[in-house]
Amino acid sequence: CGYRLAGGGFIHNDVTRVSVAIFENKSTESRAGISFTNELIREITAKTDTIVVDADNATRKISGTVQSITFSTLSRSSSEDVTERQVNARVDVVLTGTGGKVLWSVKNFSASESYDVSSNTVNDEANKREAVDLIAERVAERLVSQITNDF
Amino acid sequence: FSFSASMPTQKVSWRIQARQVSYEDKRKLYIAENDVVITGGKTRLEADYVEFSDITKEAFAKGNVLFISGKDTITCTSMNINLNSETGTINQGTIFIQDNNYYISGETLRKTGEFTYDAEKGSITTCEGKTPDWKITGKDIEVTIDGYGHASHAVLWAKKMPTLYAPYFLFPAKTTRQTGLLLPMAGYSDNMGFEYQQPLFLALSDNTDATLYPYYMSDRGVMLSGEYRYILSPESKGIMMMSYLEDKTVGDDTNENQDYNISATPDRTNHDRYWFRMKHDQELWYGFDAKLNIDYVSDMDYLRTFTDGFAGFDSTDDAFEDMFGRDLDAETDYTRENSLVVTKNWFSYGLNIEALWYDNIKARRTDIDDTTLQTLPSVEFFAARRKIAGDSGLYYKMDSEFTSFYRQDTTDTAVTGQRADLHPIFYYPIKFGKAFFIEPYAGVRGTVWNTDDFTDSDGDDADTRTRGLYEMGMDLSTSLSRVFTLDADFAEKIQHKIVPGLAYDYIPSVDQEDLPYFDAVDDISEENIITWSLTNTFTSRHTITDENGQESRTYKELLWFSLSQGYDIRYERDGDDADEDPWQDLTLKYELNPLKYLRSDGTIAFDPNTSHFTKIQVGGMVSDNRGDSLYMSYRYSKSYSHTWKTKLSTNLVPDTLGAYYSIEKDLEDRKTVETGVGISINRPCWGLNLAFTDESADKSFAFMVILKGIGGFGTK
Amino acid sequence: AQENKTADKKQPPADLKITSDKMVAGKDQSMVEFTGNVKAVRADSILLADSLKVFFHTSKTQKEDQSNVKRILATGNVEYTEGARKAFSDQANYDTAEEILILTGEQTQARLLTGKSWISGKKITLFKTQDRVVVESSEKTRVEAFFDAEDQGGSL
Repeated sequence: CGYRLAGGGFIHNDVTRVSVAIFENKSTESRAGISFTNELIREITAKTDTIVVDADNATRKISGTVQSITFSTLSRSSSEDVTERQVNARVDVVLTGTGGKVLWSVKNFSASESYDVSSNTVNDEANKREAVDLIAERVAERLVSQITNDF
Repeated sequence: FSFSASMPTQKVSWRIQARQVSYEDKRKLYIAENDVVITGGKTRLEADYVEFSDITKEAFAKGNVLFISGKDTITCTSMNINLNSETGTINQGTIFIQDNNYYISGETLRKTGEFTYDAEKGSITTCEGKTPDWKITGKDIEVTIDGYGHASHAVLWAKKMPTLYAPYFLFPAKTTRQTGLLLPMAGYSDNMGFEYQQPLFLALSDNTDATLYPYYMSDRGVMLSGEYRYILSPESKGIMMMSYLEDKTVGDDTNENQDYNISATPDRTNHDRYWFRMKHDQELWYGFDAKLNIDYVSDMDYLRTFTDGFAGFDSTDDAFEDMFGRDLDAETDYTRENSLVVTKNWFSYGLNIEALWYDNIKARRTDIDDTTLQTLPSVEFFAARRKIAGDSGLYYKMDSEFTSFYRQDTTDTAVTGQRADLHPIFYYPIKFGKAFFIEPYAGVRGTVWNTDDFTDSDGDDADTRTRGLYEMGMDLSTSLSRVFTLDADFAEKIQHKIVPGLAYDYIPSVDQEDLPYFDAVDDISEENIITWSLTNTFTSRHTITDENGQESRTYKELLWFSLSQGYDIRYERDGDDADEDPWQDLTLKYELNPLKYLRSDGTIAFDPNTSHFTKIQVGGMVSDNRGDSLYMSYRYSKSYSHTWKTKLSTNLVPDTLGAYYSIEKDLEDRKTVETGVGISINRPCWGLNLAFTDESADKSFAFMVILKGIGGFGTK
Repeated sequence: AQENKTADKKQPPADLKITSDKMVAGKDQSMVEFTGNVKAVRADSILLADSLKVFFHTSKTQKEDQSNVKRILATGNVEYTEGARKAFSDQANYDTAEEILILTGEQTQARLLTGKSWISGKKITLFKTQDRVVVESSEKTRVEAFFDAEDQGGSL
């Protein structure tokens, strides 16, 4: 039926080895940087033939910045109490080659996820963190799919 | 005849063109008549008649005078100007400052320098034409070198009608630093009385500035707000804002105070109203950098009352988001985050040291016990996912954390204490053939608590407690794809990629009854779930050949959706008396964005056991190239919320007249949370926004006039 | 060609000395024409031209203290230098009575220079007595004046 096993292929069609630096993080979600990095490395390992290696033995490097993580109201049961909020993240990612030459880059790559608001601050923070992790997964998936598009 | 130059002339050559030029030796003047054009450097002077002294470079021009220097243009009936120093007097003229589209006109104006002007009894506007839609007249208007304009005894005219007076008025004539600078804001509302705000901008140095916002409210008194901004380096900067008001009113539900009361919060009896908020980024040494967030408000009503205006909640929130990429807690949050985060990233390691203090306003105000959990501090160390050694093919990542929890008041379950947690996970990714991917993982987690005032349910009051648990699982996935050729104009190929996946996650059940509870790390529930998923992505390819035949392909994700469902093995084993069914919700998540004018995303979850939907959260926006748009959002989750929100905005007359209607309903209790309707008029040099918002409890009518280039003013 | 002939002008202010390749005197002695790299010198001003016609007062027209030269008309590559001033034109006409020198350009614009600054137009009129200069333009081209930065403001 025309569908063939695909997958693999190198990122940016010829990058065999890449190193991924921990994302710089400008938001107050202190774990955002590390979770975006981990998800991107997991997605590259799973979906491409490119091997993720340490900094000193790869000439190509991916580095990123979590530019902002902001929150907006999604649904309210009354003008006073908010039941669902949305996390909006904006990320810049760049793939650089030898001498820092930019091979591929994306700016203001955005994604959002909703989460249930809890009156207890600790649970609210946990829900926020979970939403940020889901965003990290989704951003990693879309970034890797975009950087390996070569049909 | 030889002269010595008396004026220090820069080395600029001048050129005169005219129908006739004559030279009078007595007065040492060149007289050019009819279609006179004098050019030199970046200055150009046109007039019917010009007397020009080649020595002093003074020029007297009259008759349809046009003087262009750099980006400023002066038109007048007559003018005396020194072409080199560009200073002189202008009679019945108008100065057009191109930077921010300002027209300054007046009987007598003076050009006092290359960029500076002043005018007695002049007027300012950003509208073209003889009779501008609006103008501001001032007794003495001055544009200073730092690009700001000052006017005293300023009156705002709408066509012929004077509407507003301000003793002193500031406008950003040329500067780009228009941060938060607005026309004085005047208005009336039932909970403020007559309002008047006048910003005073102080450009302290080129990388620091301050703005004072005196805010008079007839019902409440005068609130003084100050904003101090400083940029030490691209990475180190900060904004510090403080507001203080001795409020004449109190907020309780007696009917004379009813205007000043917020029903959802306890009565407000304090008169001293203040709000200190600050954000600071600081680049430290050895790659460390620090982020400080402070948000300390006097009472629970403050942020709900003072949301508009220059130093209100909304503008502060926007200013922080623009400059720092992080915003404030919502105005309805009564436990507000104050934090200092110091971070350092090595290439694949990360260190976060964070002190977090949640200021519980309610507890502070009503002096009930404050058991808010504070983190003083937490030290997190991460190892990002990386190969363990050589090419063993084994990857690992590690999260570790030491946290010291604190509470001002403790109970027997809400205690203070320290916790250390170490959580490495090991992965072994294997690739089969081209497309099969298997990744087993295993993790261990060791956690130690130290609490000196905690006794658990069995009466044990030991100080230190430990817990060890492990987790393991496996991810399997493959990917199939097919490319359809389309040859439509927006794309010539579309690829459909399907990624079926299977994941197994197992965490054993561990008795954690004897542990203190601070957050989710202290109560990790058992897990034994297989999850299947089917992720689909439709991507279009569009090739553009630019002028020199260079072909570039752009890929665009048209649609992404993923179907997934978990099967909980724990309940399968317990057979019929299981209180839960093994099959979890069948969940569909999708993101649709095929064209610029259509965007939708959503999550739909279906419970196969009760065959009911547990979650239907769908939203989207349809728009057209004329600027009209329809936004809809329907959000139902069984246990939680059931709301509907829609907003229709139309561009009746493209970028001149727009209108919007929005409604937000809570379908659970079948009531309308908020309806809003508004009209916006957008003219070249001014704009008008009328908005009526009805939030069941209180209706408000906002009227905002925006004078382009100067700012906006209006009522709440 | 005849040897140079100099006609002294005995008027008190300055002698007019003219040299040229050839000189032709009109029959009634009211006009003398010099042709061929004509050079006329008077006090500190020098006039060069392809040809120069000097018109003399007839006895009737001469007033007592006037010089006997009524009008000078130079044509062709006229170059007039006076102190720091220098002018080029196609034709120059000097009326001794009103002391007005008119320089007109036919193919090219008449041009008056001081240092690197200059002014050009269709017709340049220098009024000696009132120390005034007027430059007029034609329909097609307008008067142009250029003041070079280096010049210390020399006047035209």
